[in-house]
Amino acid sequence: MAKRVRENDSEKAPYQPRGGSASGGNLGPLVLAGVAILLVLGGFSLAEVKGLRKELGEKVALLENKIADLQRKVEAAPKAQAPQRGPDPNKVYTVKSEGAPTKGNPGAPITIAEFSDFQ
Amino acid sequence: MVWKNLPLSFHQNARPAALAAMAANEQGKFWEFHDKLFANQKDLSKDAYVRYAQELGLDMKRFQDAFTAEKFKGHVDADSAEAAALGVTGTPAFFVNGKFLSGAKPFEEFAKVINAELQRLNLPIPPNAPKG
Repeated sequence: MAKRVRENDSEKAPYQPRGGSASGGNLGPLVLAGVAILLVLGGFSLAEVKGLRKELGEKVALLENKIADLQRKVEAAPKAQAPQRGPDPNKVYTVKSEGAPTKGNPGAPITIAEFSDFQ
Repeated sequence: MVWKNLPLSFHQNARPAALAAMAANEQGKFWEFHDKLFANQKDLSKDAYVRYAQELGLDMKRFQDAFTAEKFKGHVDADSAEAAALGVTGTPAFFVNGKFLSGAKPFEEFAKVINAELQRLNLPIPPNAPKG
């Protein structure tokens, strides 16, 4: 093919009919054959790309399945006990005050209970 | 202000100190005794409690009997059990109108919660009150 192309080059624009009908008649089937080969090669590579795509698609699906599996396992696993961080700061608790030492106005709108020790 | 006893187990003097303070409470001198304990945290011993009780003019026999017999053991234990039920594990722990504030928080944290409580109760926040 390369040789043929070079020949074509030497002829300078072989597709321009320049009276040389003999050379033009020779080139026709060759060009057709070249196109056919290109088409076949192109067809192969297209088929190849399709095959690869299919293969990749299958692999991705496998991975997705595995991830879904893992996700299910993680969700099913017993939740690790969150460390006790004490009372919920957004809740309102009742602290008993009967018998406890108190200071201040017993009717005050704000009551502060303090759990503490002396050390 | 309500005092709840939570003598932590690894504070070995905290429990006798709480029992002594409750013995002082029986004679109406809890906060005075509390202040003495806080001012002398390095000297938490039975001798020290007796000395503070004397300084506060307590009935010494009554104080010593209550302390020796652990008269207020039930009270201290009930406070600790209540703390455990609330999920309180460390000291100090505060509840401002039932809202939990843990640890020795800066004053502004208290001001914030107190002012929010006053607002919730439709009460005026004193003009000179510290802002949270």
